[in-house]
Amino acid sequence: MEKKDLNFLLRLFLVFLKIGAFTFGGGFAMFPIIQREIVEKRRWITEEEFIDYITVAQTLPGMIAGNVSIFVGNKIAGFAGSLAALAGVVLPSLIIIILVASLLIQYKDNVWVGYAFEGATAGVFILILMAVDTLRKKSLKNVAGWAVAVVSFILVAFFKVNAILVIISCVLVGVAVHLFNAKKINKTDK
Amino acid sequence: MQYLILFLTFIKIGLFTIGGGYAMLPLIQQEIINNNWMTLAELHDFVAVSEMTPGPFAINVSTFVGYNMGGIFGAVCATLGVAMPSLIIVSIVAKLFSKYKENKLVQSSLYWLRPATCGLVMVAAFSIARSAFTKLEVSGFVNILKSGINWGAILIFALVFLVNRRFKPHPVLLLAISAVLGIGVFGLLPKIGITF
Repeated sequence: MEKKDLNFLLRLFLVFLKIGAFTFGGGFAMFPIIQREIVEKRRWITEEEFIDYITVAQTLPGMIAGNVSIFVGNKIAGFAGSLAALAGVVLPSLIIIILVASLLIQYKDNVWVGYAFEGATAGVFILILMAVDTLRKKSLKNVAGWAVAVVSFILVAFFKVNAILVIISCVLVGVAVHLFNAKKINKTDK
Repeated sequence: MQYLILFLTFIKIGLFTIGGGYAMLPLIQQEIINNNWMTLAELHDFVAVSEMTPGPFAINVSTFVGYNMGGIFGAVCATLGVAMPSLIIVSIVAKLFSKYKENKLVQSSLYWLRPATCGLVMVAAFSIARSAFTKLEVSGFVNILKSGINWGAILIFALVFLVNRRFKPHPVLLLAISAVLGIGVFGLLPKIGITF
């Protein structure tokens, strides 16, 4: 896009600053707001492009919300745009967390704060159970999927296998299966 | 040196988090234990706060850990580190967008990776359950002297679970309710003679 001037980048930054400052929980909570600000109000990208970005952002390393912001920024103003969008979405977190963390460190020996956290941890467990449930519905659709999930869980939780190793192994299995299938298709073609 | 380690560690975490947010937790847990940075209970307190503050969850947790390890500059290093792989990889993929989206090799890899992500988030859930429901670990903010099952936390879990099923509150509200229940169950009930 041609609208790469500094003014435009600043506007892009400010829009994402607003998105970062007013969404809780990140990821999926952020999408309706990005859609309203970027697709509906400003028409910087189309609805189809936005859905494509969400789909692909989930397949790439890093935070989904961050990835979508980088995609959107890149689409409307190239690399400078992705920098502006990412900086905008991250900056409120950085400032707010630094403030909250410095307060927490001050009060960390307060028993009442401790009680509140002891209760909140039970709530976090419910949130993460809900996340597991969403992932289960999306990705555990057959025996092979369940097997991979259960084996990964046991290896990392009980045998202290490095999670990164599990991730790399799965990618390699995917590559091997693809190459094997491609070869089979080639043979039947001949 | 400490800042460089933080930065590099979070680059590693950012690079291998696929599926966002919670998929990052097992990796952060692993690094925290290996580097002896803090206890898991402290991390889980941060997780609770990260859910209740605005912004992407993954950024919030990273900033928290960074701040705890190296103050404001530590927070900046961790946040930059965790965002760096995204910035580079997404910028490259954006250029080959349609090719990437249709690529069979990518789809096949993801097909095998997604169930593992689910398994890894289960690891994070398991570890949060352990620190929420047992008294074996010393919590980051309260010393829990008696070891054993934390019945108070199980009561809170049951109550919040029901509230969640019935009313589906926003996560921030859900955590606020849990925190208030925590103050009630662990702070106020013992004052009238009910302990867990």
